[in-house]
Amino acid sequence: MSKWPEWLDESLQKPLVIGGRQLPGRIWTASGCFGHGTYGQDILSPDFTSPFQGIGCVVTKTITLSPRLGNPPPRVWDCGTGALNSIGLENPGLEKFIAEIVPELVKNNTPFIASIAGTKPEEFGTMAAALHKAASRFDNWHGIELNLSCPNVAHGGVDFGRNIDTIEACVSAARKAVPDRAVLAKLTPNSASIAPLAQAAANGGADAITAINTLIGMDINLQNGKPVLPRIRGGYSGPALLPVALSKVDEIVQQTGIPVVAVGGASSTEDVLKFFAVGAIAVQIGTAMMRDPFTVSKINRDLFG
Amino acid sequence: MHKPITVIGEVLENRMVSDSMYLLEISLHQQSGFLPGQFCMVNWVEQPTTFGRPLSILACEDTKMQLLYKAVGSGTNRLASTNSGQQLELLTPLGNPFPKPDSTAPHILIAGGVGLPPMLSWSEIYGQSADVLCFGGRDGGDIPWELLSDNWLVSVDNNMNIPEGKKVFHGNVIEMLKSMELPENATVLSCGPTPLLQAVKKQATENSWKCFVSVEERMGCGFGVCRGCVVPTVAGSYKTACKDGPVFNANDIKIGDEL
Repeated sequence: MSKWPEWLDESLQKPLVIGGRQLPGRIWTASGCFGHGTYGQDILSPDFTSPFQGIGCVVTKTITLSPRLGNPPPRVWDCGTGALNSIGLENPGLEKFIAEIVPELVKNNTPFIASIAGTKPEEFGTMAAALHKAASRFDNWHGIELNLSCPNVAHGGVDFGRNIDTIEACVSAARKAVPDRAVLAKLTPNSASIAPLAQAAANGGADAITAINTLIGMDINLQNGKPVLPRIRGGYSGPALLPVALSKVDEIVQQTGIPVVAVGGASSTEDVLKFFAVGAIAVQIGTAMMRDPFTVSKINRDLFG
Repeated sequence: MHKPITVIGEVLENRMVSDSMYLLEISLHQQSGFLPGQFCMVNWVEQPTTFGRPLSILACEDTKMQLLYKAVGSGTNRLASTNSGQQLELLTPLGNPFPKPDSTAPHILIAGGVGLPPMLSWSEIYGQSADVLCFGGRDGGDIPWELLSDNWLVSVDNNMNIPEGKKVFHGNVIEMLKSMELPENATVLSCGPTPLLQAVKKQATENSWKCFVSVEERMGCGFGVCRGCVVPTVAGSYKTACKDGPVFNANDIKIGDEL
């Protein structure tokens, strides 16, 4: 049964088009919260469906040019009000992603957008070009998301993603390499104002903005009085983020009119409706997928049948 | 192996079986199963926590499941106050189990504290193959006596609160192990706190035993996608406790502060 409210723009029931290309659905998984979209196929819901049923797009875990080991454990912490993570962009590197993960996504016909991060604009260009060369012949590859906002790396990450010239240069380099698929820029909420960052991404040629990445946070273990994460600060996510994300999405939509794929704290159909109400064209589910791998599937069924 | 399912379950019973350990019995709305060493993610239907809590499965047959846990953090403390009739949401069974018995080798099972469930279920399912069963606790009150058959050798750090008629070894479980005459070419299986696993691995190396351990790490998703619960490997990378483990060949991973 559809939970579509009367006030909601009916054009959202039409197929989602980004950068002139149609995508399978409007409810996606967020980068870093559903791996590379290659795990979880064997999990069954009570009515024996797969978590992949109804997924609009899997945004894969961020890939860097070279492999990254990631941060030492503990890497995740349940704060009660949300989750802290400090994974540190652990990934097998671009070459292995193309050689091993892309073929599996193609074999399973999983719709995906590849998340990439670099330390300079040229690196984004190099990675985007390699992905385009490897994946552009596959219909289930829908584009790239530039992670301009990871809080858990020593170089690049948040500081990098607060500089409007850098954002524009990174997006521009990737855009040149990927002319026929969606190019999204994922922005940080850890700045006073997000609209200028979104405008810079659009100036560089982004089709849409992904907003928001995690907030920077920390927690203390009361058993020893010390920070819970070895790197002290991490990315704070989960339901507590929803009001922050709604505010940032609203700011981008109102001030720039650039299409926004919303992410941050959504875990239910009601939360997704709030993002649509402020003008998001699609919504990603992050932390909630870790608790319940059927979250996207359920929301998609609620809204789009 | 059973495929993991998300399933609702009702708490049938949740009672203390030692002064620190709870036995949780759940009636699942669907059939499930498990192999010794596998775990499940447990959350609440009403007001779920951000992440489920990983708990080792003690038993699961048809729709009846038993879990054993200690109330140590916010999640397990909340679980301890969960009453009969309350609904839980589970993702189960997850992870790789302990290997099945190898008929050519005697098996030594070593459990410490809340590491008991997989050792207990392994010994019950593969019965005759468990040659030496060891369980170490803090003191007599820490031991869930009703769950342990007389085949279990029990060690306690502190010789207090030992029920009448129960024999214990005063010392830690490794000291108890060293005090015994042990089979050669053994396969040792162990689950418990990190210092115990570290000591077990050392013993196994010295005796040229095969050694499999189940590790514990702070978990996010439980099925491999968040890369939160990593364990450093000897090869210099990380593996996830939830998907690659929780059972590992002890020679493949670094345990505790092991270099």
